[in-house]
Amino acid sequence: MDRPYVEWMRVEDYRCIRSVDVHLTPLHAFIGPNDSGKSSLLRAIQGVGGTIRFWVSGGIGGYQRALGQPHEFGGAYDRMEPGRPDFWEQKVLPAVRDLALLRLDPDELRQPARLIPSGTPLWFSSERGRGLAALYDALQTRDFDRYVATSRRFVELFPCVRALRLQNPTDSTKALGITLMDGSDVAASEMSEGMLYWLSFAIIESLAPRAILLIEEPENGLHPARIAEVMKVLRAMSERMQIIVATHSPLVINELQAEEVTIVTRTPERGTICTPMTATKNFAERSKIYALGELWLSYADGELEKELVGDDPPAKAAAAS
Amino acid sequence: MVAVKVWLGGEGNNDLGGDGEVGAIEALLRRVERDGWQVCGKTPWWTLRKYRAGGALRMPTGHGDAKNTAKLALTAWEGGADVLAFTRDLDADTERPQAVDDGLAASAGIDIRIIGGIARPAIEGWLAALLGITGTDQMSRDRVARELAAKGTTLKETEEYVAIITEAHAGLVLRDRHRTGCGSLRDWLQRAADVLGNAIRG
Repeated sequence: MDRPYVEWMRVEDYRCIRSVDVHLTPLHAFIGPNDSGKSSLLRAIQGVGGTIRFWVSGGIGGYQRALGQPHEFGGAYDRMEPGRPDFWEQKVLPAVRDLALLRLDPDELRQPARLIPSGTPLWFSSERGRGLAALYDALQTRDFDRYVATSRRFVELFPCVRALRLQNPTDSTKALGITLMDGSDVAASEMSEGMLYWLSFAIIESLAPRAILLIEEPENGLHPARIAEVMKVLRAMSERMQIIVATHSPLVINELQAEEVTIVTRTPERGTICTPMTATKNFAERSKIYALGELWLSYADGELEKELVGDDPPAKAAAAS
Repeated sequence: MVAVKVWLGGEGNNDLGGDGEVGAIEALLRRVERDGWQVCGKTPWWTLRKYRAGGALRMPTGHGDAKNTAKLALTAWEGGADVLAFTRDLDADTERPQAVDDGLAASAGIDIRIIGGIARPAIEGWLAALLGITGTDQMSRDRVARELAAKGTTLKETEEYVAIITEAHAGLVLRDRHRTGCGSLRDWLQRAADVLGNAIRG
């Protein structure tokens, strides 16, 4: 990845998180039981709360962001290079400014959306995915070839569909719809969740890149084969923006490298704990036999994951090293 | 002397024995090495998770037994075993022997000694061979059952499996592959003698 990205962060004092260190990659996944702190980690990165310290790739420096000051990027944390007035603007801020979180909700994805004025950077109008129809409308106007390519791929993947349609419920709104092979039309309200999720991920490549894109459960509503396809899309996008996902799906992490996965667990004593997949129990041997997702699935118990992370998951200092 | 710890893998109770009970595989191993080892765990094949995701397998073949064999080796190693001893019934699956070989190759990086192989057509064929029936490797399961029935053996209880093995003249099988026609058992027993003997006596 040519552009700077966050390769390490420490999050403190937010929801169930007391203090955790996490090593990150341009495409990264948190996987773990319910209520372990995965979503809290995403929220902390988003800047909703807690204290977070980032270290940006290339050894170029870091910064911290304190509770209640999500957009204040001052406060050099460590190893700032002296005599580099362009340091913040060119190196650190591009890696951490302009974050977006997606927690796609099919009911929101179905909604008619207000037209997007020309020249406006393209992005969903809410983290739930509102505005999807307007994004496709804008794509059709701004990059017709890409719209056609995406539409064709959609038809290939959903063989009952003849065409993706954009309708005008009002003069100023667009709505998605499809035409089936028998010629009948289906409104967005009747489209399958899997279709809507696929359309959402397929268009992200065409939207304005963010520094970091945080995604909750990208596997939702998708057939296993489509999950692999979405992860390929996310990997391609990670060349342009850092992508961090929270997931429960072994199929998602099957598409990742071991260093791209962090196991998130939680104990009453320590709160949220982050264990790199590569530091899990017997990883060297297990990884020869299992694909990553299968490894996780075979040893995860949905609670403390002791068969994965052991009785004493890596302490903060060990993880930081 | 610390007893060598052996993990058993097999089709079910007749192969493995129930909790604290001797099954066919342990009985076979006792014929090779009576003492100096102990069973430290058992895994029926059916308990190995059958999870696959397209393209994500680390095996050269898509046959489930390649992965299951490797998983079995890993399970035994993680259970603290020095040796894994397993059998897998052929069950007319012609791709299974190669799959097991692939699984064994994939297990090479795991620090455990392995006695393992295909029982043709199933472990009952080995019992038939031990009772003096020839050519069992080439028989179907039904044929083996008929041959055993002709000798008055129905093999309903694990104890019957163990009794046949314990009382049989195993040397017959070991010495003369062509006459008995049960090379799968001969190879398995020879491997057991090599591996277990080395593990016990260094």
